[in-house]
Amino acid sequence: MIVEGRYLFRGPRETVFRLLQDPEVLVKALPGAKQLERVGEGRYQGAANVGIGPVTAGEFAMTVEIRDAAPPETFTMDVEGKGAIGFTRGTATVTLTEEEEGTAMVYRADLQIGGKIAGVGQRLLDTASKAMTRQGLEAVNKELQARLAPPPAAGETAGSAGTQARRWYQRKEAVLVVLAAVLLIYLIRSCGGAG
Amino acid sequence: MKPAPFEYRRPETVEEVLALLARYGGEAKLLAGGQSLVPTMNFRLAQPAVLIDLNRVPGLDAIEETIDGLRLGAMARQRAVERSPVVARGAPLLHQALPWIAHPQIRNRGTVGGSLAHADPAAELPAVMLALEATVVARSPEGARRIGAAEFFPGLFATALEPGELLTEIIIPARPAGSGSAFEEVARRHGDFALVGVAAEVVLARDGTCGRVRVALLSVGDGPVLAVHAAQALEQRTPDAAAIAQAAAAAAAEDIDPPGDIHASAGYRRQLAAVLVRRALTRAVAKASER
Repeated sequence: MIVEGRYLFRGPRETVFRLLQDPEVLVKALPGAKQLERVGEGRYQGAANVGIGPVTAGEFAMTVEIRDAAPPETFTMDVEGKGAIGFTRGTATVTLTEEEEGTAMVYRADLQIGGKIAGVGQRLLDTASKAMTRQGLEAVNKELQARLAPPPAAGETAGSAGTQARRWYQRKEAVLVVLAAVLLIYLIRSCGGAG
Repeated sequence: MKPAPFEYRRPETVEEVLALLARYGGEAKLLAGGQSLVPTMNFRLAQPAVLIDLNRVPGLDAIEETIDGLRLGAMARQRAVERSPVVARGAPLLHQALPWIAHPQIRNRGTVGGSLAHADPAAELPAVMLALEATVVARSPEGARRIGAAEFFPGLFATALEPGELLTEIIIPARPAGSGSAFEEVARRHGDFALVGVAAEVVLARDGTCGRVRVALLSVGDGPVLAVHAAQALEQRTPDAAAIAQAAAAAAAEDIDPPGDIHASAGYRRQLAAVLVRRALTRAVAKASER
């Protein structure tokens, strides 16, 4: 199954990046994600508890491997998820480009879904993945808007903001992980969409 | 296939149901007709710890005319609604749509409230309720509240019901004079999940132009989709073939973003939506003209 789309973040690419470099924020923004940790160079493991509609939330173990990363524009990732009701495997490519109105994220994932969910939930895979993608990206964009809003702490100087930006930039790999998590969670959720 | 073990509760009043919901929260599932929930449990995709059976709660299966219009209890069986002369008279669109739901055996058990609370994007009843501007009544320990169909289906398998709330009845306002309706659906076999379905109601003014138009589609999105552009294309106009074709084109092009799957691609669904909207509106206008 192909999951693809384009989403416009209303903010400059640097800001989008800064936000996306905060895995804690994103894991929180993504319903179901429980944890995500780095286990090696470009390798991450995590767990998500996902369910949709009548399907009871089940735990999925997931691994994400980033390759061909060219920050801050593009990367490719291999994802795998396994749970009691099925499994998924696939490759996703994400590209960020600067646009007049903000930052466009273009994503395309080629996924295989197997197990019980593939049979029972077939008719809902596309709908569920669309819904989850939208939901996840909107959550990220909401966080972005919150960050673009007036500065949180009074007296914070441009200097400290710059420091912060640099620190975030150093954690750029985290961005990739979070995007990977976004996609993974959609696809896991879409697996759960059996009626 | 057999479900995972669960605790079974069979309350006998609405108050008991609400108390059980408050006690078990998200661990519990409500059992109405069980035509979606039980298969899901048998596949062990759903594994609720507690099942609260509504089938012995009296007073939830009304089908009656009131000053508000038509009142359907949440546990009214789909087959009973289908065969009710009160429904045929008071909400012809609902009457027309019911035979499209699965098979008679399933409608014998399946309930109106169960289908709405389940909110399957391929279900007929949510689209019909959206077209008819029905209101859902939800009970909680704090009392009852009314939710319009347009707000009731916020997303995929999602409803506006809060945790602890029980859907108790559905109210369908009386149909205006000069209204006509039609339901259209295509599935691979009758009773399969719809590839696309359309519920349409048209009100004709005395001069033959269209008053209010409501078109709702199913199986083309996260939930039932109200075709706003299609309605706008037809309202205040004489509903001739050209106007109806325009409305159908608007529905397919602007109102929906259909999914694709192994049974039907997104493009095929879009094409099908245009055809079915055109047929439904044509028949609805003809019905409205008869009166």
